[in-house]
Amino acid sequence: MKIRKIDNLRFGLAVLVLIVVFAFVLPVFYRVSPYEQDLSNPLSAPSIDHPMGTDMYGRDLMARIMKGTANTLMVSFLASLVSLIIGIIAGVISGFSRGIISELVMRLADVLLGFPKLVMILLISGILSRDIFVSFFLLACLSWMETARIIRGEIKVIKESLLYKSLVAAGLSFPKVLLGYIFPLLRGKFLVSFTLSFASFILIEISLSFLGLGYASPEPSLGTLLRQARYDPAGSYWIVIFTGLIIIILVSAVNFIADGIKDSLEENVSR
Amino acid sequence: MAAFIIRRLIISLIVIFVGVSLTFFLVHLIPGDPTGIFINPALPESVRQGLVERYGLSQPVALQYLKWLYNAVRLDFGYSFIYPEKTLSLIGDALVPTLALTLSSLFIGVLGGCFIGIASAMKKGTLFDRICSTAVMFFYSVPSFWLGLVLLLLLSYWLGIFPSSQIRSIHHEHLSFVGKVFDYIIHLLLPVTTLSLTLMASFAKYTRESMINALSSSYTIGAISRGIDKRKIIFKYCFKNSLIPVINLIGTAVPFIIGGAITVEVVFSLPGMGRLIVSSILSRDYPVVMGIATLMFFFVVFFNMLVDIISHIIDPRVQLQ
Repeated sequence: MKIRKIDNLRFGLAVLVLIVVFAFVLPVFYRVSPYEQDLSNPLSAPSIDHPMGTDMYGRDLMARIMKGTANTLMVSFLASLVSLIIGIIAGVISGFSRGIISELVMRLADVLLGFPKLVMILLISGILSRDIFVSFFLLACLSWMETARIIRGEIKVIKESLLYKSLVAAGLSFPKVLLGYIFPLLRGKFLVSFTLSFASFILIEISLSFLGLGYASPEPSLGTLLRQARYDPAGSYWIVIFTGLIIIILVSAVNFIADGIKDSLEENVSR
Repeated sequence: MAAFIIRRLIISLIVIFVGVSLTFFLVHLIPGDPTGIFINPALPESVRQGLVERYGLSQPVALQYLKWLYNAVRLDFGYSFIYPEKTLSLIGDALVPTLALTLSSLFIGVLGGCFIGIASAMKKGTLFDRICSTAVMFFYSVPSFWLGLVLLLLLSYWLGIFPSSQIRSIHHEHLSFVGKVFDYIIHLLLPVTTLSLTLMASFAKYTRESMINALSSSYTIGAISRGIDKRKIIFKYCFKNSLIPVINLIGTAVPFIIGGAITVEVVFSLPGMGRLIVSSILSRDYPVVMGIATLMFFFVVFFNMLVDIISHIIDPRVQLQ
């Protein structure tokens, strides 16, 4: 049983590493520009010259998928990092403070959780900002609530523990207790929150770019690539298939990692 | 019970009010006015000025807000900037295909997902469970619109079984009543399949997890040791207890269903909310944007409230924190 659970995590991590290599390292060796158009050769099926075919402007699909994967990964990674950091800060503040501040943070979280995230996503990226990094930063500012709730709950428990009380009694400063003792205890929770929001930000980026509200042309992302294929799926089925394969592999790898971490955390608790 | 519902209602109203107000200021405080987007630049400046005056866009934002709020309370969302129609009737027209799509997908997704989840939890570790879990992981990791593109490619472009777009055929008006219904169904079959597969996957995943927890809990072991019929244990005790996370999931899934519906509608060119939302945001059609945002807030908040009340009824220990 145990071996299979660790396998989940390892399998996911291995696949993710492969994808990162594909997106960031392979372009160094595969010297084809993802932007260079070749209008004499539009929408050609996979061949020796273009292993994954070309798009409607004759751009090499493999180079575009590499660059697109890199773009999708970058923006989702940064957004989930920001939402994790805000979540931790809000969780720590409301976990340690008493009375009005704690209440305020949690009520704010309640109100934000009640928001239709989708409308906010569309409004932010459609009206407020056309820069995808800015709009994903703003999105991250609206997606810290689950993390904050979990961290707050954990801290409430830790605060009552003998460990915490003895650390305080020993006269350790608050930052030292927090960084040296509490954060290491919560590392697993941080990781789960981060991976789950990473997976959801990847899907948000893909959907937004598919709707034309994400990365702007000519910059490719996994969503914009599919957007091009939408007009004529039959005439460009290789775009649908190759881009879709990368998406499935990427997202299921991240989901496997999240499941794996969750399982190993539960095992630690039950032991 | 009544106190619980009233408190929940008050919080919901606050969320809607705060959210809608925030949205209004977000939309209206952006520099530049929307006339710059939809007016023909060749027209003289005075025309644009006239439009700005007529829509009240030159007034202070706070005043515009109060006016909008006053009208919105009376369910008057004004006229669209782009289409010669009332915001409400535009939304009403677009709502029909979207509701047909989302409600039927939700129904199929929840039923199918719970069934698969329970079945694979009971046969945990067998070949059946592995196959189900792999399929669930696959559909869980795939954006629904990609699934839609593939189905479209296979069944409508290559095999030609289903129509590729729109909600009815060109000759729809000449069909008999049964023919019309059949026409709608055949146009909705692919989009509904797409969306319900995605939903089924997430419901199956969560039901399996919570069912496994319930099956290995001490009350189940106690019931088994007391010799209670296994079917009764599974359906009366375990299923009821694992229902709460599933119901909560329906609540949190509603926004995602609407989100999934938007991209699926775009893939299948359905004239629903998805198209209206995206086009009104891109053309800065403020009255329509605000109308949709208000509707969405109501929808999501109402569903969340419903979920809280239902889980309170199933398990009275669930309290409002």
